[in-house]
Amino acid sequence: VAAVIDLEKCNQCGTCSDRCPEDVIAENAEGVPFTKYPNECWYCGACMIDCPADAIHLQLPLFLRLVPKPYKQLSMVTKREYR
Amino acid sequence: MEKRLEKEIIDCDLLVIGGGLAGCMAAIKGADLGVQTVMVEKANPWRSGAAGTGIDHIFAYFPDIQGPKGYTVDDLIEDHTEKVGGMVHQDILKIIAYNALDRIHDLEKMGVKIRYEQSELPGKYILVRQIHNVINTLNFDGRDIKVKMADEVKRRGARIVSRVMVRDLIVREGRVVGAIGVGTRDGKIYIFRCKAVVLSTARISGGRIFTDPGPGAGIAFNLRWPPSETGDGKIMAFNAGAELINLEFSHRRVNLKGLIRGGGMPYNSYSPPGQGINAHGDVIMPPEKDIFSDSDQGIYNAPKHKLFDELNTGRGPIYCDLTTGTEEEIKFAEWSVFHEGGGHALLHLMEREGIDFRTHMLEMDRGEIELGNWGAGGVYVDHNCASTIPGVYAAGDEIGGVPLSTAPGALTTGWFAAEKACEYIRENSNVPAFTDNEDEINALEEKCRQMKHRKDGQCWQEAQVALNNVMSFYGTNLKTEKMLERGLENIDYLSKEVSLMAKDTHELVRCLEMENLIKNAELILRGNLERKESRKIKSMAIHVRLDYPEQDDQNWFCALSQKKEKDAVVFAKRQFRRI
Repeated sequence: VAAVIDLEKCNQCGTCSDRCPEDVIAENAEGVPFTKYPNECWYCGACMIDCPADAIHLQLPLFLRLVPKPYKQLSMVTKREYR
Repeated sequence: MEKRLEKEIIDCDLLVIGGGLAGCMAAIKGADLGVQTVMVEKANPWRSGAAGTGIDHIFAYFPDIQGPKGYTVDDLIEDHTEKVGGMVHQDILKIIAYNALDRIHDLEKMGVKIRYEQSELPGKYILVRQIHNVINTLNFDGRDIKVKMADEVKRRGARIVSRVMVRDLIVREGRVVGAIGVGTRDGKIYIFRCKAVVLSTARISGGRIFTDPGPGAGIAFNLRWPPSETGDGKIMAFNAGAELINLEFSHRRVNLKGLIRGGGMPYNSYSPPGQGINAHGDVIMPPEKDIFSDSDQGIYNAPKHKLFDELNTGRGPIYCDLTTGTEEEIKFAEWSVFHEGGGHALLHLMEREGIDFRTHMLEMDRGEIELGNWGAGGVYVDHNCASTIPGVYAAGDEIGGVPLSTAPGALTTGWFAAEKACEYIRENSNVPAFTDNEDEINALEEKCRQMKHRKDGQCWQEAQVALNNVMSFYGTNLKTEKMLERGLENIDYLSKEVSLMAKDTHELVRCLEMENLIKNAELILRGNLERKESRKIKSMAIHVRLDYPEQDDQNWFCALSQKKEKDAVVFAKRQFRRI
């Protein structure tokens, strides 16, 4: 869901929705923030950086993930049993 | 019919449209000159724009460092001109070269850290190699540059109007008298009455025009430049009768695979250890320190398309590799990336995946097709940053014809355009009347009402995909006269067929953005059709026509301008003077 807000930590200060450059985060009637338009997140991290409660982390959709590429090759062994 | 939309009138002398680096600097300068200044921003200037979450490097002329090497400020202008292939608006380049360091010192006064104890250079700067033949790019703690600049705009007394998308400039008796827009959250119609305008709405975010590698929008904004940079300033200027230039140019670099982030890979923020390698571990782009340390070459001379070649010839995947760096070098790169726009988020995402520069490589891909920057399409301005509409000035990436002007261009021309706009205000203080009941306002209000009440139209995402499909097919690597004509037929069809509907105010703004994007696409294709040549800057292709494969300097070493006259588009060739 793009910006994941930990409501246990959130103090509802409104900074994340105020700062979001893509207008992705909104607040419900009780002032609790939520990621209303996750498909429009730019993953710039403004909400995360400015959150005074350190309550936000980013989560990429599956198709944009950074698939790890360790420099040392994975120790996967291939065996062939063709006849 | 339902009730009319609420309206708010805001009066000022200077209206700055767009609150990025250029806009903030313009607002600061306007307020400093004692002019009543309003800065209106579609998002919120504390984190908006290309530098919203930072910038780690900015070039300038440092007289105490480059001077003793015999490299003058005018050498910087010539050097930059040479690096971008000669076709550049040198008057604007001069503003950048002569003023960038002063603006950096302004940033320091706003609380941005630019000097470092460990530096042995005069001024305690940390400089890295970037574009030019000398090492003149400042690396600095720029992550929060926008927070500090927006604070400063407020402190100097300019009024900030956030969350308003300006849609039209209002021109009366041949000069600008105001602008109108829509509140992106409150849905109100905003009417600005002013004596001059600085347009600073940035370049067009290429990924909203083309979608390759995608996905572009509707499902995620995987773009290098801010998704909200939809060329609003270009369209409002064009519709008001201004000349736009070089919109046909675009370019493509390598970039991070997956999320398009961390531009400049494997150099720039990833230096000094960053190198580009192929699937076999062959070093295709050695660390820039190895190839450029003893040479008088900017890294922009490095052919980054060499990495494309690896993919095209079966030696992919390709990677950005920092693992061979020393701990000190890797720490330096981490510091740079942290402060580069989106870099903090990238490091955060890497950490969550367990990816570390010391042990992992970052896979690269062809980046998105970018507009602006190398191609530098934008508003045609004179040596005063004045557009062809009296009272309308442009700044930063809104200005056409200055490739690689980047952050120093934004800071210097923002400041300079505001100064010239204030001179205009002093000399032309009698503004023709402009009320809250004018044709343009009623038309905008009607459009908004229709979009909000329509039940049988398309959502903006549907139009976005349609636009991306047209542009990615007709407007990229298959361009010929017939293909471009067909592309224009498609855009024409799309413009007539599109009937956007919005569930709420947020969607309404996305719909208005889509209209601007479609209009920009039309200008891009039309420019592509008109410019009958192919063109490169060094090894970077910025315009490729299959039917005109050669560069034609005799006919096309010039900017191509487009201007609206009634229902016609008028093309003109514009030569930049050498200063």
